[in-house]
Amino acid sequence: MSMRATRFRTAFAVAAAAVMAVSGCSGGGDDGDAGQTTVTVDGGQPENPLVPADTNEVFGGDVLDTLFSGLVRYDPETADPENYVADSIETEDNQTFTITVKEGWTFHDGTEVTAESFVDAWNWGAYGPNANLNAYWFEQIEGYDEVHPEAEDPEADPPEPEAEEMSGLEVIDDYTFEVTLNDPYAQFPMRLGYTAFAPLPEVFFEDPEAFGRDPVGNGPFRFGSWTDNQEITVEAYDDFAGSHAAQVDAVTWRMYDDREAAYADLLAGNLDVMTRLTPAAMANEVYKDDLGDRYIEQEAGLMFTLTVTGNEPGYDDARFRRALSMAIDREAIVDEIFEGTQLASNGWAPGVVIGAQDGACGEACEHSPDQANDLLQEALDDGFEPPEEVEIWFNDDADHREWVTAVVNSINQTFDGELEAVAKPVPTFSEFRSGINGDQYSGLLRTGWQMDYPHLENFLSPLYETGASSNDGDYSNEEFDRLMAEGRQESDRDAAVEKYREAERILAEDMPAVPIYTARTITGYSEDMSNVEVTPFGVPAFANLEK
Amino acid sequence: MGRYALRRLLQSVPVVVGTTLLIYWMMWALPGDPFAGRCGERACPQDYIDAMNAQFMLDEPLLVQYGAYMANLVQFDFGLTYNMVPVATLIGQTFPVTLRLALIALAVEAGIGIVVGVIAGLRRNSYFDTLVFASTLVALSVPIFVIARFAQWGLGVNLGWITPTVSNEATWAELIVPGAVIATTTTAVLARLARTTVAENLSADYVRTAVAKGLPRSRVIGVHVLRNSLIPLVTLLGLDLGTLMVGAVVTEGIFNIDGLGGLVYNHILRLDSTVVVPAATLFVLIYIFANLLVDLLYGVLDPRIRYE
Repeated sequence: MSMRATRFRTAFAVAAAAVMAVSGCSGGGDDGDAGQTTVTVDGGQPENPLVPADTNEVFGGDVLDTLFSGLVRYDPETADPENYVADSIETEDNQTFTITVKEGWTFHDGTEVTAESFVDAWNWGAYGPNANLNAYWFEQIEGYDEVHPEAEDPEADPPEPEAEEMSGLEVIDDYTFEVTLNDPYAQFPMRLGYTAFAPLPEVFFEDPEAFGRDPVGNGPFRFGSWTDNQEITVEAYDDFAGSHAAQVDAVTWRMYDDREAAYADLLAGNLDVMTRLTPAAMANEVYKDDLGDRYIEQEAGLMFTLTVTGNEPGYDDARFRRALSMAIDREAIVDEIFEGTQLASNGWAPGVVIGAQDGACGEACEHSPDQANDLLQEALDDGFEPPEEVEIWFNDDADHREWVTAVVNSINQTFDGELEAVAKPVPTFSEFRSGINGDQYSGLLRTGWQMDYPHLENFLSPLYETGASSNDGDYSNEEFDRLMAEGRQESDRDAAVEKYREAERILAEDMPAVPIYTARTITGYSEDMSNVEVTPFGVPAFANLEK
Repeated sequence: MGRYALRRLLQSVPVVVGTTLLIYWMMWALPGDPFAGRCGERACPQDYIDAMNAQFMLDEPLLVQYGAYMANLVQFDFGLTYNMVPVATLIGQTFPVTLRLALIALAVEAGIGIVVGVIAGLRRNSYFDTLVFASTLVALSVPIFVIARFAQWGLGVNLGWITPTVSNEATWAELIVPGAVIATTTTAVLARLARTTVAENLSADYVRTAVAKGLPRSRVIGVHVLRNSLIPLVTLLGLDLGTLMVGAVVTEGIFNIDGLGGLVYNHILRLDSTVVVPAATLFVLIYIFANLLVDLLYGVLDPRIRYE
């Protein structure tokens, strides 16, 4: 059985071809004014140097997406992956993948993109002492444990790696390499569109630090300049080998501390594209008056949940957790708090991902106070002891207070004195994360998940598998784990999705996390723009921007 | 006077050391791990946190950290932020912008506040005086961010006279509106103060004497009244320079000005002391310098004041 993945690189380069045909633009530079066309987009200061293996947040990620093209790219409209730098990705057993790289791709410094560009980059990214934030992306590759050993005691320093390179990566010839995984994982090629898997030129290895300030990639744009806290500019790369070349001469991210200021700039024509409009602009749909039809509304691969600390006393009864879920009036919250701009969740993954199943949560996510009370009563009759107060913890440095408070009210109304819920704010996200990692909270935790790659599996595996990296509620269910493992070994795409869906339905029984809402992004643009598309990742398809 | 100035500057050394230690300690005492929030909804890899802690000596005792930090600081090595950006770059980039903004604000305050206040003081209970009273009341009671947004939307979006935000160059011309916005409160206070002081001085004995001996009115007011009224006003302006350097966070944010205040604010949120401590040191130095300047001006304004 051969697995052939057709995928694309992430966010920027996306839906170009199709849309360009529709909009009647024939690509290959702009035919408008003779001057330079620069598109300004709102952005922020990246948290880390611009190295793919070390960037995991949106500001740096957006820039890297324009600078690098991966083996695979995701279609901007459907999120379907297609081969991009990869000519083919083939496997017999879902464990060993033979990847052929297309000839003719070059880095911005003129050197060629070869199999080694990938293998070296991945080995560097995984190597423990390099302490990369994205190292875990390589953990499925055979030999990861040798290059990235974990200390037994989390406080202790990690041991010295036994090897510098993963045994699972092997260069066959200039354009072919082989990846062997620890276990069969049929969806592995799907992950290859993520920035962490980008190829790196030789110049990177000479001085990674300098590279982080002046990156050299193989994407449709080449790095221009970076003024801290002010702006980053990338310029069109003329020798781009991919099918989705840049349509403008440059993209500049202007960094804003105050997003209302960005919105004012957008309206005054001082900013071309603004992603994620502010709550003030969305309130009463002000943006529709302000922008006319110059906005794109799109469901994003981002959703918010309340994760239950399931092992804590008072939360270990699934009926109680389901009762909590049924007590929450999601529709009312979405309408009143978000003015209908967000969607009430009825499952554990947003609708944009491959394999998403509508209504996976079933009746457990429908607001029914009576059933909620019955379930609670049933549990109480069996001797279940609920917590004195249902504490809902959240970080108060982002816009969570309102909806969390609404959830609290919803629960209190439903149980009417039987059970009391309270909102527990934590001042900052970093403090909140430290507390979660240190198991300091008991109750419900505000959690959210932004997709790394557009597949249902990405919303289940890292969050709910036993011992997974983001399993904040320490959920564990053997049946769930088994189904996930089976899904990974299933070569047939649809059959795999079925396994994942079955696993997701287990969550509806156990309710380790209560789905609340799925985000939609609204991207606004100025009168100067002639083509703006937004990917399921919620960012503009940068290569397709036309002005 | 030279010795006085020198003594004052020497006094600033213990002040700077004390403040930096205090600020360092306060940053250190803030709850939360600066690197724990770096990985979205998942726990950051331990080796990443270890590497960062080792690089920034966060696993050492506070005094060791502080000692190493100060040792670098006196050699003008400001180090890197937790985002791996040279601190010196950030401060070097923001300081001139903030200084320009503060000078514009000071100019507006001094120009409008003093002139209006003096005129109001000279013509007490006139129509003009009432107008000044009413408008200062408004200026003092409307929060700065309201005025800032109003200016941004009114002048920027609706009228299109200015761009809603300031460009990266932050030229003098672009900073006039934000500077005027920041200046509103102090302008009002200055106008009030100037009015009262001038009114008070007008009825002072020496003014009556000056008038009695037949000096022209312009000289009585221009030299005797004004000069004596300036002392409290200069004190206020001197203090305000310090405040303006730090306190413009909100206005800077609204007009997207890359200034010192916002820089410090953002790094406090990120628990990143690498920027906060040197910036705070800079604030202290500016405060000391501004106050020294004010004290020296006292001597010029009132010859009875002597230094030694």
